[in-house]
Amino acid sequence: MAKRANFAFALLLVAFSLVIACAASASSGGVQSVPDWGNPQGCYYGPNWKCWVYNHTSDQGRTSCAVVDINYDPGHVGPFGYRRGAAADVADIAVSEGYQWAGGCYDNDGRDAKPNVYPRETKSTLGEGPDCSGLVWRVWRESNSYRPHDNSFFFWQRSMYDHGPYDTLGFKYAQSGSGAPHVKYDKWGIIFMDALASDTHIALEDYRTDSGADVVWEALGEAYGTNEWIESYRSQSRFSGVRRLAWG
Amino acid sequence: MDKNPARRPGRRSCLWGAMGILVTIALAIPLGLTASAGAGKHRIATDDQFLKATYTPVKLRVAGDPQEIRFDISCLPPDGDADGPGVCDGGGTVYFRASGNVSASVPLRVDSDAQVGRYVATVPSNIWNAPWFTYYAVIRDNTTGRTILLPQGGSTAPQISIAISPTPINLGEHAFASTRQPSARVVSASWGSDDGQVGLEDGIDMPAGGASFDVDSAGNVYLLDEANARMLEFTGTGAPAQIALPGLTGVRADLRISDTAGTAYVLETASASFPKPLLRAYTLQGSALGTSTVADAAAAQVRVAGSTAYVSQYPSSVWAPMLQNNGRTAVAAAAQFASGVPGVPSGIGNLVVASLGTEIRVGTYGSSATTNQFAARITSATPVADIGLAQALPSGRILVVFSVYTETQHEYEALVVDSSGSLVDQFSLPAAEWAQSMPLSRFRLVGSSLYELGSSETGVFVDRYDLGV
Repeated sequence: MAKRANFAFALLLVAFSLVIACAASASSGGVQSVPDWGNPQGCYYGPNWKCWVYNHTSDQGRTSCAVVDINYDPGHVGPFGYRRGAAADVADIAVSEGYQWAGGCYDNDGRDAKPNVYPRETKSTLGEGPDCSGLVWRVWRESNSYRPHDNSFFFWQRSMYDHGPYDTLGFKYAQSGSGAPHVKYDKWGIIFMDALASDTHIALEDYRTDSGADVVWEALGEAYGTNEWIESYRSQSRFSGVRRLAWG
Repeated sequence: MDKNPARRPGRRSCLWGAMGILVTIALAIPLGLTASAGAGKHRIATDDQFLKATYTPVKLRVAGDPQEIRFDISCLPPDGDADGPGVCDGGGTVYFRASGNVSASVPLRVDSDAQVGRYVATVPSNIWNAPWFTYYAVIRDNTTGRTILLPQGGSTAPQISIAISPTPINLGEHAFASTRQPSARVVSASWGSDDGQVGLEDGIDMPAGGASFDVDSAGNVYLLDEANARMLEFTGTGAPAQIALPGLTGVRADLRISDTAGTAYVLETASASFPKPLLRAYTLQGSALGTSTVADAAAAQVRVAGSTAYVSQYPSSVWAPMLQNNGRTAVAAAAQFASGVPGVPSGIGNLVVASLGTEIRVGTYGSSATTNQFAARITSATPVADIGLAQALPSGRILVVFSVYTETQHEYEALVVDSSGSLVDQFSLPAAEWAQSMPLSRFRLVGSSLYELGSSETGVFVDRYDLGV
């Protein structure tokens, strides 16, 4: 009797699992909406879910695409619970790890596993590294929700393939009270861990040189990767300042 | 990284999906479902261990400046989780030496309210009040005990601070849209890869091309065409000569010509191929002479003094020799650090600049670092940024060119200053910045002519301004 009960329970569990798995598969393979920053060509989005690709087995035991709720919380601290200096660690680890349009994830081996992969800055090839706005979103520890009205800091792992909800325009033109955890800021006053953004690019401020140029972290392109460069963005008319809110 | 590209599950994967869920449940239960509760603890690799420090050097100081040097330190937090909320537990000591053989060591203290420059050393008054002092810091990760030097030359090649007291030149509010007309447009080239054209770089979020240029003593203009791995030589008559530069990776770069030695120096920025900037030397016909990798993290400018090419390196904020013997002999990393100097070597001494938001300072010091030979202080009601050029004119006066900007406007301001630091001439230049160039490579001074590199949607150009001063 006990064996029969066990067998029945196992069948029930398998059937239950199949139902769940099929539902998940159907949702991920069904209607795909394109995020407002473009078609990532391999990372699928819906109104309340997205597909993340986990590349490290050390991260939550997942090694392939997994459909998760867009409100998934990787762990967070509230506003003013995170310092600019801690964010710098995230940026420094991304240095020399490559560029990926609509990226992305990276390790910390100091090299781009797939440099100069075509079609470069127009389509995701699921390579290593972030793109410019993905780097800023990740370093700034922002929410995965667009304009969440929440300035908390979220601890996205470096190996999560996730770009975040903002393109460069979403950073550059964010107004106070928009609900985004960042806001347009006078570029004259930009300091460490603020950003300088144009319509097509965004870079994170590290420090100013004696000549007045800025040393910035930026994901610059497939030919460049992600690194720190000396730039004159601050004075260029196409660039504005952006500040992440609620630093500790 | 990309051994597990995105897989799009389909219905045929239901069975595997079910098995995956069962396995996941089996794994998750003993782990206490830590993943769903928040971030799983990331496994820290040895590669994560790093120690980095930046600072704002006080190279030229005036009365009223804060009597301190500020640093920022980055390293793994004590819990070892670079992705978590912890911050680096840093510290260190700053070592000072002033004229009169006065010395002091000051431990860094944490200014916990500061958003930038959290680690502070207050300069002792007997050091601060001296005509000059040198200093370097030993930066420490208190968790691991690791240390680094800043500047990286340490006591062998310390940073300098010189007291200056020139009468400020107050520019007031900048009047935009009243720029001087150039004396001549000496170079014009359309975008492309055909003969006489300049390429736009591939693989970048912004248009970039024709990143730098230089002018030799005869007035011939050399325009870097990094996207096509060449430079174009414009002699003023006929089509430009096209000089292939083998080995260029096509990223933005600074260009310097030494026509007396017959050497062209190309300082390439970091790229996907080379994670640190690289200085290459060629003959003026394009034969490769030598290469040298920047020892520090970032670099943007190359200058030539005698037979040595110097590069501005950061965060050390020094000019380090990188190629000697007219481009043929590379300087090893340790020797670059040990030979770095705070001011760029020039015919009027080592030249130091400081751009401070609404103020520009320029000064020189002698090779013994004991005497302040020239100093100028320029204040502006309009924000200022990049000092694109600071160089002596044949008259002995100094030409300084720097950015002035607002949220929506950008121009350059050119000032001629005499040896007493007084203003002789002043005019504005257009930004002309459609394509990205090297950030501090838009201006060159040859004789009494100032050259400006510009670009538009149709191509790149060089304008000449005859100063007559």
